[in-house]
Amino acid sequence: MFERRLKILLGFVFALAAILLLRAVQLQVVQKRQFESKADDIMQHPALVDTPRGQILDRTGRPMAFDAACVDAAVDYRAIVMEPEWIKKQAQARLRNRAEAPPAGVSRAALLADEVERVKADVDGMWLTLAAVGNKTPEEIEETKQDVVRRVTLLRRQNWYARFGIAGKRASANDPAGEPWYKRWLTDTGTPAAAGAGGNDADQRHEEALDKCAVDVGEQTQSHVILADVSYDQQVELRKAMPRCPGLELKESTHRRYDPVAATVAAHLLGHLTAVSHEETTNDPYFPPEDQFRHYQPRDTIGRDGIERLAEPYLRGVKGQVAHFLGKREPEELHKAEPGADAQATIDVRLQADVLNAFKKPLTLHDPIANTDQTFADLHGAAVVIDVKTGEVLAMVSAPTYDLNRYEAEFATLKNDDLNKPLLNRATQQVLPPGSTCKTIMGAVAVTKKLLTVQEGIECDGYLKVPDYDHPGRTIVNRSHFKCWSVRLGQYSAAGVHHQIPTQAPHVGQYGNAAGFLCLSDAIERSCNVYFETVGHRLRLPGVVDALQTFGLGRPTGVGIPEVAGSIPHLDDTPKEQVNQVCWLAGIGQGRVAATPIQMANVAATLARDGVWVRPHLLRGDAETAVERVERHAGRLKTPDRVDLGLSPEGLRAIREGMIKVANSPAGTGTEGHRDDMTVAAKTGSAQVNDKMLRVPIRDAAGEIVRDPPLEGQKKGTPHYTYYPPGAFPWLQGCGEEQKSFAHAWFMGYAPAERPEVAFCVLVEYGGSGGKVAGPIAKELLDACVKYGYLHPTHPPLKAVAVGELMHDQ
Amino acid sequence: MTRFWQQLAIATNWPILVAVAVLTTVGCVSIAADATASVRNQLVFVCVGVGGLFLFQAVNYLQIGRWSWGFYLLSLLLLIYTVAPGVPRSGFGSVPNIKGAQAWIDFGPLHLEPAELMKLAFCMVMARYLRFRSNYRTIPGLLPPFVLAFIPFALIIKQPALGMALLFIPALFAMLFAAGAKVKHLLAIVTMVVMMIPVAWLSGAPGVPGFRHLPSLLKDYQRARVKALLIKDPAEAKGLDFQQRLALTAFGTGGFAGKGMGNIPVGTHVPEAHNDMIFALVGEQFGLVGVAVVLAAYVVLFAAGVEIAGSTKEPFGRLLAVGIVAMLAAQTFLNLTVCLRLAPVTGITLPFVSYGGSSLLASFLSAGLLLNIGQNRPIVVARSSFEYD
Repeated sequence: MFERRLKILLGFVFALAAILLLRAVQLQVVQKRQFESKADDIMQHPALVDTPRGQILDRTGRPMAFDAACVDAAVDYRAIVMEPEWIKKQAQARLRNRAEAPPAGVSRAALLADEVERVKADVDGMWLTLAAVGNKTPEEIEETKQDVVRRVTLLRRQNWYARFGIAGKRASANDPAGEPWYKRWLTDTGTPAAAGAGGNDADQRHEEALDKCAVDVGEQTQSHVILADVSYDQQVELRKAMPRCPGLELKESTHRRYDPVAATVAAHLLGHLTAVSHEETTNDPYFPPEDQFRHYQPRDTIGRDGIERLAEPYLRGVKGQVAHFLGKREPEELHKAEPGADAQATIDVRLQADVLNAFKKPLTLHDPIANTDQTFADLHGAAVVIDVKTGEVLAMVSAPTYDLNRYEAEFATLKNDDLNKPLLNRATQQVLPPGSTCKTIMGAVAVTKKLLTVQEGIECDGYLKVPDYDHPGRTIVNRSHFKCWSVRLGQYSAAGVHHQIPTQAPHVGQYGNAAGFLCLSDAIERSCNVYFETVGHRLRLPGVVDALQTFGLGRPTGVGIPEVAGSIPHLDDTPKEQVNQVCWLAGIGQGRVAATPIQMANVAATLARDGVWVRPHLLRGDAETAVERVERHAGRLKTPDRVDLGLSPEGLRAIREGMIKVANSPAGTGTEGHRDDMTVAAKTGSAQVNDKMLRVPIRDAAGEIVRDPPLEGQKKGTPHYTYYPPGAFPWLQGCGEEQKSFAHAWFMGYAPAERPEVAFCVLVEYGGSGGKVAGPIAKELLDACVKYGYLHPTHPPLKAVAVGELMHDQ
Repeated sequence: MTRFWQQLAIATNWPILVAVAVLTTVGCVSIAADATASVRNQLVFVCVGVGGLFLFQAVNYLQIGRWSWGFYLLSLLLLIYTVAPGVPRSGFGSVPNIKGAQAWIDFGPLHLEPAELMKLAFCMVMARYLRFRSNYRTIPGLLPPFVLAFIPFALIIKQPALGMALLFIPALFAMLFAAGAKVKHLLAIVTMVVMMIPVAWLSGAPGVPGFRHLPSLLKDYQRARVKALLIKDPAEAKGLDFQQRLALTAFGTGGFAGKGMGNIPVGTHVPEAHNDMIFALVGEQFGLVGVAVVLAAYVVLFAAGVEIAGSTKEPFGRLLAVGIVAMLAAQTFLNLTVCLRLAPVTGITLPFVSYGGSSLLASFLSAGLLLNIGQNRPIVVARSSFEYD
């Protein structure tokens, strides 16, 4: 009958089956790879897992900074954004758990609606509770909430980008007009709003596409920290309030903690953590956005200042990732979190503690000029100890200090303490004229430049007397300002100053010089100003600048924590009429010269190494290697690791001989540094300050500096100041004839002199005499170094008188 | 007695039974792999289905055929009941809203889908109507068959279960075609329907002038599903075809040899995989090999059905066989094209494989009727067709 028609029907069946089989081949064989990669994406809701930050250890392996367990108050994301579905579920759960029977005659829907309103009210109340318990304003809590929302939104977008970014960009960047007509016709929703937005602005369309396409992430159903590190009492309070706080959860977490001793003695060194800034999340300084496990996410913490900042990429670790699969309770680990590596610092906390202690000790001194006793205590200043061989910083103390564990709580007080400036890391950020310690630099460079020989004697009759370069044949004599310091002590006579103070040891001329003429090592020993003003004069401005730069002044040392470059005279900007004065003052480390303790400690270390400059550093081992590479790559570290300065050995020998005599000869200015068990080489400095009063701005109750109303053309008004005279505080002592002027005390050196192990520099602000005030601290510093094995006494102890011969024997 | 079994064994169409057994087994294995479905329920349904199959095989189909109209009317009443206003939405005998459609009637432990019964009833009533007529070779004569098809079609659309409703069209056309309706008539109707598609698509759609005011023939989600098929970027599709994309991924990852029985790492994430998207699970577990086996089983089933139709001279049986094959084939191929993303998402099951009592029962009853027709074919000495062309 109609056999043919049945065959046709059968043909359809075969044809369709064949098409399907071909399609199956296409999907399962040809595109298999594609689907496999898609499968990995589609199935999961990924969530990042925080990883512990590495510890910071001191050189003995003692942890200084570590992650400690704590409890955070966290709130479910759905409560933060008030997701209606979640609120409804909460309300339903409450209704179910309610003990009493529902009132008769009220419909379930009405009951639910009622309960939903109550849950909403509770969520609103929860923020107030959190604010009250956490001692925060509701605005601060609101800000934290917004941060969380921003973070989750960002994560959703990032995840979307990671999955569909390229396609999405193409879809949104293309003009819809470019699509084939049939597709436009099919996909055009036709609503005027969409058409309007679609036609104009590609960026806006892209944004809209992003909003539409943000994928779900696990963070949307997780709780987020609103109050971090809740104390036990606060926990109790929150637990009580919990039934009225839907979505509130007390979560165990970790918090950065610092060893109680290290937190105080190394507060400046360690630095601290804060939340990352928006800038850092969008433009990570260390890792590109593609590296999603190391790239910063909002609310991550980042190290600020100190070693926390320096070793940031090393300590940070790699975040893990888990995926919350659809329909599975337990998340699956996609990417294992790698905890941050422990970074070992070069400092020794014990040494650090001992040195800091030396600053606090009361010290009574007799001032021979004013003939009074002065008691110093709680000195302000800094000390740096550098391992000579390696350039490792063994100790870096800044006094006064603060407790790093209470940094956030006390921040406002610390920040506004303009008098003591506890937050200032004086070791690297306090720039003061280095005073006489600078003379070693001038001497060493002048000999190298052959402007001076070590045997040459320069007459000091108390006043500067130098040839006038501008007017050949004439001599400049300056009797008013450029007096040698000994003149002020009344030692001037017609026969010239013999720098006999304090022991009245007369100067014996060497190398055929007259008894009154000092040669280089004598000038260092007795710290003659006229000698080095003359040296400064001979170096002239370019020479002075070059000398200072050679020893690394005027630029950061590259130690890695925030530091100030200091200043050196400007080669170009110095007015011609001031050039001479600038040179003279630079010769004695005053005027336009200013340096940090770390720079001067490194000068001492450089001298100890016979003129090899080594970058001081704070990290050891792998951490140092890794961090140095990162820092160099980022352009933050510009100083070389090791430079042989090419200084004249002869000059260096003379300088070192002079430094030994400073600490050991009766006429030395730094005999406080003398030790019986080894020879110490040192140089003192007492840098005069022009101010007669210490000026501190006044702050009002809110912490703002009180100012006059701004004048015409002024941005801010003149601040109001409190003036403190010398002697106002135990650490603020005057010096000079009537103790009316200020001076900063420096004491730098190295030990043992024969084979230097450590170099050090002590700065005492407003300490006056370098030898008398900074010297005892340096002595304790060296004691501590011996105690902890960084200095090995040499036997037999060297006698002070034999020093000169010993140096010549070498 | 032995003779009866011998005769039955000879008369039974073994290829059909083997194909059904293969498909049912694959289905049960896949359902067992999907943790969200109960394979025990499915096995119970299979037992019931097999019982129904033998019942429909045992009683002569001509006797069953007498009940065609009654069966049709019963199914129609049940269909009307599902879409009638004021039907209870919960409790025994209610029509709960499941997955957005009111297609099931709640009979306690059993949810009956009247549309599944209607598929069979339609084939029977159509075969019965067409068997001794020839007026369908004229245009007016085509009207009653179309009305018979349109009534359940419209009711099922109302539920709404577009996919299910669409199955009636190929069945109707296949039966008319096999019955000898004029091809030009059928082609004319097809052409008209095709030409009406844009109108149906646009009417009621927002933003199109003129069409905006026409009654909307398609629901927005249906339009969206079709659109989603044309969108390459999954993000842009906004999850409309989430299930389909996931199913495709599960299918694609199966590769040539599959991941092994019960191993469906991607398939577990496909929502309702045991139902409409079960073919994805088959593809993931058994790979291209398994897919080929399943396709072969269907082809064997349909070819055997067509062979039964061809060899049955009795017109009711012949047309019924064609109708059943067309209905099953339409359902199979529509499901498979959806699963392989060649067609927009429609919620229909895969015969013999998908989870679901009504669907399975209807499929088994259809198979039983096919076997029934096959074993009652006249054993006559006759030459083959006189048709030479």
